[in-house]
Amino acid sequence: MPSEAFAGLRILDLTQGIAGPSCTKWFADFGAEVIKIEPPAAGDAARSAGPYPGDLPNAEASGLFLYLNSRKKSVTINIRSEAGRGIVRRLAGEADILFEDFGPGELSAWGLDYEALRGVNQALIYVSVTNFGQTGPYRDDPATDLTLAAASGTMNVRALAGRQPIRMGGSQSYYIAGRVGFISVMGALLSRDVTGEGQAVDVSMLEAAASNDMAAPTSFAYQGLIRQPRRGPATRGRGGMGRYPCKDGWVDVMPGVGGLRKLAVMLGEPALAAHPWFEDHQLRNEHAAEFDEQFMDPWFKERTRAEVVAAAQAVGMPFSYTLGVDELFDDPQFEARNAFATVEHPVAGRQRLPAAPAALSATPWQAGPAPLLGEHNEEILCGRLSYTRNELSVLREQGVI
Amino acid sequence: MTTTLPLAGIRVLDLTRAYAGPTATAYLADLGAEVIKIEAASRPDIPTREINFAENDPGDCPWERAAYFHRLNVGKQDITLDLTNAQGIELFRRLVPLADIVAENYNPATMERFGLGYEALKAVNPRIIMLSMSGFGATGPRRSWAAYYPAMESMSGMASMTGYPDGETMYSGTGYADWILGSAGAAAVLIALYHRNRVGEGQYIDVSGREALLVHMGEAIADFSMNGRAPGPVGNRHPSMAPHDTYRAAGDDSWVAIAVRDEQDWKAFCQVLGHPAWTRDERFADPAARWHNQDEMRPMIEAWTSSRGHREAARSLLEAGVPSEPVLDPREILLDPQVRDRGYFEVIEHPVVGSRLYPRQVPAHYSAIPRQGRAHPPLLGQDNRQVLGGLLNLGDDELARLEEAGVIGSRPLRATRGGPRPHPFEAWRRAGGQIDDDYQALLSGAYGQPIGPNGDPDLTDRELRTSP
Repeated sequence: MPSEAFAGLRILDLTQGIAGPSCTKWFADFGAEVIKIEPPAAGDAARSAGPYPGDLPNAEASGLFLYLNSRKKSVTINIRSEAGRGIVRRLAGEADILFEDFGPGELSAWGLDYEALRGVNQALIYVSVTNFGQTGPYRDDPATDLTLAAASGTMNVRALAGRQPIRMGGSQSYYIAGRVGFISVMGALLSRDVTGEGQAVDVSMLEAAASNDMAAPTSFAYQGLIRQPRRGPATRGRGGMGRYPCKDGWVDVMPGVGGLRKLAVMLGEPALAAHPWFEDHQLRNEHAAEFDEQFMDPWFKERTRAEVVAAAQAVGMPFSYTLGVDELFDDPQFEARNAFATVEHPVAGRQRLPAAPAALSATPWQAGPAPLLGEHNEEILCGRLSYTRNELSVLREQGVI
Repeated sequence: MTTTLPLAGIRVLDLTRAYAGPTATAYLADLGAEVIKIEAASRPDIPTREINFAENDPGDCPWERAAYFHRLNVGKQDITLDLTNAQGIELFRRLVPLADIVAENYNPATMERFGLGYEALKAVNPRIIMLSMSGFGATGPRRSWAAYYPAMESMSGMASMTGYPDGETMYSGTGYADWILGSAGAAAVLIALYHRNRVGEGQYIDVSGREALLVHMGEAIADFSMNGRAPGPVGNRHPSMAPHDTYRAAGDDSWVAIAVRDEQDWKAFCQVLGHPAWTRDERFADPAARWHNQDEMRPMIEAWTSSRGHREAARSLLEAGVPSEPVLDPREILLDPQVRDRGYFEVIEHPVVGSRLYPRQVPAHYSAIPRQGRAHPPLLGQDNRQVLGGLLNLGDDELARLEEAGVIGSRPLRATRGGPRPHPFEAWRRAGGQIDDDYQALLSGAYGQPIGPNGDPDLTDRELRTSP
């Protein structure tokens, strides 16, 4: 039985949607107990985001929710009620880490801010995940994944000439915030191993989104470069470089270091390496159309994307092609590495979802289903906080849980 | 109050090169680890030491002027050690018992070939954590396949979702997959350190860039699992919100992002644009109608956005509670009031290129860990004496012998392929690229201190050569 890195670690999670839950997912993945506090009735906003099996909306079967909340526990608490806040305070007293994604300062009106909870739990790590951070002139502005991508500076480069910049597919600003948040919180957790003290961690989604661009701001600070010329729509590759058609689609051809020699080997004619068009970059460019017609097209036309890329990689050229989401489950490498986990869920049934973000030999990732709304009310409130069944019914009637 | 950083006392032997690997160790350096970057003098970090020079000028020592290398290696130490040489491997092996983490992003078979696979490292240091990063992972039939960031994005399905709805698929253009791979590596190492603090054992970590991308595609993969549906490139379209896109603002290639989340946003949006009647227009009656007619709305929205600056347009909408932001370019993000107020960029002085701005790799603010200044991006081999002399007790004679034999060094032993080339700025300008010649003055003004080549003008390659 492999051990779990976060066994015994308790997380209290007040966040919803993608950013906060994708952050606490790291903890659930590696064995922490993550207790989600969900608003009664509607629950986490991700429950109403879908996708749903058969496109039938169902708060218990939202694909986004099922993915982000695997192995977490769900307790419904109305934190707009004082009784609800009392429960959160008691749970915070026993937690190692609390996550919240309310607006800056919003929780202090309810006595659930860091200063208040620190009084109950000196070792608590209190993590706030917000659009722009707890400070600064824009801290109270509303934002979404799209507007964060725009303000982060990372979207600017992704545009064709004359057209609007576009974001990456999916909600990457939120997912990025989750990952940067996790790394940041681990800093506080490892600090606590030394000092025994908790602290507040202020994560700005904007800064997280900005931090994944490794190039552009640095290029400006070093050279004044704002952007290279915008390119037009992609045209097919020429002279052994770029996007080439094959039997069932397109392949991105990139010979790489020493590549033309390798290309000759791939084409089954190693002797071609001595051909002047293979040897001389300049000459090849001048005769690009003939080069393609004579050497590339006939060979590519006979082969599928998978065959071309496999042949190229076999000789060390990093060719690739764009897999559709519908092709991922059949990928032999993903299959060999268990990149997808099959999860059985009482309402959504059997689904395949992404598995481990990284393979750790001693403390591997573990799969599990996401909770039903309020599934763990009794376990946590009666088992952990010693409420009686009767008290639970009263709380339910009062709309607290 | 904690006064030391979270990873103080943790030593990392960093064999990573290019983008993804150095990103992982940049996180560890920001959190306070002692990261010893190891380069071969015969093959310094490629390609980041070979491109993108300060002032677009390779100068006498181009490898010390390279922007991306500096960006990714802030706060690290640097030694040279050639692992294709038996003495180099032996010296590395002697460092392993003194280290906590070994990080690498070679092709999976390479460390084994050096005799430095996990089992070998574990034999000399059972507490060692080894981090391997690659495109396809260290196991499986395609473990030896090579991938730069576009290949990771295309072969994970991420690229298939990115692009205009009517066009080809696109890559991030920002090295997203490299960041994904490096950040997942850093996250995994932190998990392993936490475990080691409790149980005392190290472990082996194998991160695949493709898989680290999959975990950011949850809803798309769930949709395929549930409904057999695969998304194509969706541009800025949201599954339910509309309008939800970037719109042309006044100025050259300037844009503003707008996201209308619900009815309240929609009413406020129509009010701000001066078209309250749109709320009664049947084409936009409800979210579904707006979603279906979103292309029709673009010119109507751009009639308003294109007559004002992107910041001004966004501010008007934000004041009405509608999420909106200018699409910032690299200059604008460096000057952005929010980003500056929170100290996201740090000014660090480098001995060759002077003071420059570097983002915080871990931008979070901690209540009990004060922000600390980071060491400048390292010169090639600048810490040879301290690390090899200090940790391994090699004397000056021995260091000189190693340099003579090419095992260590402080300048590249061979010229780069084709020599270092500046960017063709003039050609880029003619083709519509944007280059601001005034960047040093602009940034110096914004950050209240000289930004640019105020480094020591006397530090020539002669001095660089004499530091062992």
